[in-house]
Amino acid sequence: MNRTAGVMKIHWRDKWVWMYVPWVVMLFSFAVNLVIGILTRGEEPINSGGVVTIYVYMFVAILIVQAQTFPFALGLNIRRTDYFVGTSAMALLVSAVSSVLLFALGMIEQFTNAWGVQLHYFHLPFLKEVSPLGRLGIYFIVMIHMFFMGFVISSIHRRFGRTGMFVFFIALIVLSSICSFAMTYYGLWLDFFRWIGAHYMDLFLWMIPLTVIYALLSYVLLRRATVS
Amino acid sequence: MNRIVEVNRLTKEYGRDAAVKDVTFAVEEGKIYGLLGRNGAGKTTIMHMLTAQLFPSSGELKVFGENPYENNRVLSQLCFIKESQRYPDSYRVLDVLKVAASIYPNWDRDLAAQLLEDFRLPLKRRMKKLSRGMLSSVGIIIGLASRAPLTIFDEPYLGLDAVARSLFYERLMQDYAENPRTIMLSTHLIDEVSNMLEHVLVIDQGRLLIDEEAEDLRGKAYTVLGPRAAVESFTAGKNTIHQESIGGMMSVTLLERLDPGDKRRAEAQGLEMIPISMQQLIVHLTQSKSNGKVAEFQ
Repeated sequence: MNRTAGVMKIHWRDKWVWMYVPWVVMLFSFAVNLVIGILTRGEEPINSGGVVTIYVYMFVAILIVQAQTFPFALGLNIRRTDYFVGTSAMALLVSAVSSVLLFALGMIEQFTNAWGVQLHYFHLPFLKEVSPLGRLGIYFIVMIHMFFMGFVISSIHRRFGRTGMFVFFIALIVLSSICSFAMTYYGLWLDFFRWIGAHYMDLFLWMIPLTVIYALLSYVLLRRATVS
Repeated sequence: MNRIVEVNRLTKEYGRDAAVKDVTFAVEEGKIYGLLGRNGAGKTTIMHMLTAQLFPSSGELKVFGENPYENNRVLSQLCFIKESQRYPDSYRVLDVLKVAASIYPNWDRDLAAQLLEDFRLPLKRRMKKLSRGMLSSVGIIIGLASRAPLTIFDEPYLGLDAVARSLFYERLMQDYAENPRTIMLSTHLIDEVSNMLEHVLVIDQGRLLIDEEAEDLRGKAYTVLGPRAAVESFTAGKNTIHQESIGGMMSVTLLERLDPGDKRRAEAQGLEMIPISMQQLIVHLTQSKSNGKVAEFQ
């Protein structure tokens, strides 16, 4: 049997971590918001950021999943390459399903006039201008971007252990401090936010090459990772 | 005979310490190998390198004629059951077996079901909630039912009771007879397995001490017991691995094939020749050298 499929099977047995937990959490948060909307009779518009939870969860999920399944898969004599491909395929699949669901819920929200109680949960106001297909794409890109960002970090941990994590975060903090200092020094913060405000759509596009870089880095790191 | 594992000057270093040093051996197809030694001797490290889970610092390593690293032609023929294996938190016994069934190409469903019954494992129980012995049973089931051409067991029965252990030996021998393959077994319970082993590798402090057919080894290890002077003169110039004396009596353990002449001479001098068990032999060989010296001074 194809071993990449074997890796996906390992992940599929863990549907809870991959699919159910994030959706249960988010739908629960949605239900709370909906109840509040009903109680206030929709007099006040609610702009919930609750949909962010599923994106943050994607980042966290791979940290959990990799810590548990990488040693297991290697213990079954699965190649690191197959683990990487199978895990990435699983992430793409889960992201695709979640994006379609988010998109569908957004459409329902639109047609029910914000659930009849001015609750803006799935249909985000700043994406109003984007075509439906574009919206679906953005849901998907942001999600896999979050996933592979987590994948790189968990792979650094896998490859270089606790020391590697330590060095990585120190470097990250130093680097962002320098950047932030430089921005303040040259008085660039306002320009920066103005630029973001005008170009946030480009940020989504930039996530595509970033995601590819994360994926390549994860692969290179995992190729040299060991288990004991 | 077909050599399925060839290891040449294999070394694994952690900083300045060498966990495995200059180890060279070969494994032939269709035999049961025992990889014996004390805790921390380097057995597990060697097994991890054979299965490409760890990388050697230097030396050559070939499994089925190829480098096992990222090589599915090699890895798909292996099954490595280790005591330290971890499982995903949400997994039940059932999940582990289902996954194993889809990954090992030669998986025998019937055998797995039968073993599951023999070891009385609760299918629906989470791996996290299993006792040490049950965890070992899961490993044993995978190791046997995977029918991998090279199956490696590292301390496979930690926490298993005597009944379960003898069940393991029985099933292993039965299945080995029906489906010959190569098995490598590392264990502390040497006496229990010594009759099954066909070839013995002894590792001590990262080095290979012994690489011999079990039969030869058994015929070579003797303790000579008798009056001090007679024992000393008889064993002079022979390969002595242990000696002890109490009063005027002395016992010396030899690792050397004795010819019939030697045996007759020993009998004539009133010396007793006692074959020693493999476990005793390995204890003598791997006891730290300083202890040996203290014994000599006494």
